[in-house]
Amino acid sequence: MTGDSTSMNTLEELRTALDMAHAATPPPGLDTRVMATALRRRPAHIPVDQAPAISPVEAYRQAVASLDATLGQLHDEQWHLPTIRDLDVQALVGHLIGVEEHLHLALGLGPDGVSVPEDHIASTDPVALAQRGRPPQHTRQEWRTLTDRTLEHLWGARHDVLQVEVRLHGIVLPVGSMLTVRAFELWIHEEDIRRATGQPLVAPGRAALQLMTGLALDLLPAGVAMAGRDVDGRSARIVLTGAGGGVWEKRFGPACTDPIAVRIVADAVSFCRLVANRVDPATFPADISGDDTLARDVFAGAAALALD
Amino acid sequence: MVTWVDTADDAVRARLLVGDEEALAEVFDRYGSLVYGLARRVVGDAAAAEDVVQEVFTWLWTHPDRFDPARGSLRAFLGIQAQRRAIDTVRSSVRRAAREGRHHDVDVPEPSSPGAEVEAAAVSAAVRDAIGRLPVEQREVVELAYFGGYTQRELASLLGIPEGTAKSRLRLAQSKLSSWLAPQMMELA
Repeated sequence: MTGDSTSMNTLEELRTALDMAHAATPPPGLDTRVMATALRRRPAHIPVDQAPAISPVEAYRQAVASLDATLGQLHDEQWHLPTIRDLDVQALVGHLIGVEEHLHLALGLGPDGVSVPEDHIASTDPVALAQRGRPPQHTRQEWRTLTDRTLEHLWGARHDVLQVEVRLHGIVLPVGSMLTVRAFELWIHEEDIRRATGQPLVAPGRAALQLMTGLALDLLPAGVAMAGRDVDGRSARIVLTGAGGGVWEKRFGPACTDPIAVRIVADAVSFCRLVANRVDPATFPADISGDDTLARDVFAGAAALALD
Repeated sequence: MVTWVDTADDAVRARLLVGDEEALAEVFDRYGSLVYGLARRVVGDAAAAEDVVQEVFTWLWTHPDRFDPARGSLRAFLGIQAQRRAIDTVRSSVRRAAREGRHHDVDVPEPSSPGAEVEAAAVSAAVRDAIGRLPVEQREVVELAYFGGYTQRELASLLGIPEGTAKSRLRLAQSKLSSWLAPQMMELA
């Protein structure tokens, strides 16, 4: 109120003292009436600042533009800084060239008779290594040519086209969801490159994050199964805060009727980095109320969704 | 428990923003008796106090972004909201009673339990005694800031003084109160 912290503390103490003196037990049922009134005015689980929904194609376009802007700022020597998996920046972009080529095969844009590899990493190693010795801008341009082709093919696509399932690197998803995965991967690798080159990390826009967290929570049961965690019949409430946040109640197993056993509250962007396996599940920052073991299973399941 | 936010109030605000209704229920559990008690003290009428409580918590749920933890605690924020809405209710009631030719009565409710009565009275008496010892110009800014929940700008306007004068009177008053009350609050704690 005064802008001075000492003055604020004194006023705070005054309020505490008098407030405590004047507390009175509310009448029975007032809590229920308050909740009912409040939820009629604003439904639960919808963020106050929910961004208008965007198409996965738009999320993918934004991710391409963002990574391309980061690449455009690099000096030649920065392209040889190490990132992940023994790849330098240029080889990592080479990996993305390989993934985009495989996406084209999955979308029917590639040469006939060539099947889409099942592995996300090994199948792109040759093209990643082939970038060695090339001028970095040639690598960047090759990647942009491929992403431009993807956007040209899907921009303005009807909703039913985005619902067609495709298989890429062993994952089967509707085209729309696959593009959300692509946008997610481009963001995560942009962060890998920004870390390598000493630049601050930048999260996607709110609407794109909403697509990503929504898809991640949809896929969470599959991730928990991939992680080999036995959570059949259990339920968890997951509250993600900040941009891309929301509230999800996940019931694991087809016949789950158990009450919620754990509530997990975490930052949405941090959760996305967990899904990308860029944060250690064992030390993931979250508030956990309830079954701590189930929470750890959820974190392991999230990290198991990572492509690398 | 691991947290990634600075304070418990930051965490509650973040949960309210994304629509976690359990956070609202927790806020009510923690501060419902405070808000109800403050409202009841001002409006006197139980039904009117309930309406104030509903307004305060509904407003928090629909506008969680209006609570800024950097400016004060959630408890203080809810207390100010309760006081303002309760005062507005009384003003409306007084105006209505005046139109109808009736006298408006206000009664003060009992504290929540017999065990709290002695402590509540001691706390209340200590704070009121200290405020009463202030020079009149400092006492009036404190009473407006605390009981009325007015900002510096608002109380300067109400008193017809420059905002800088209001700020310095408030700072002087709070310095005195801090030195008088701190030892007493430690005894009562």
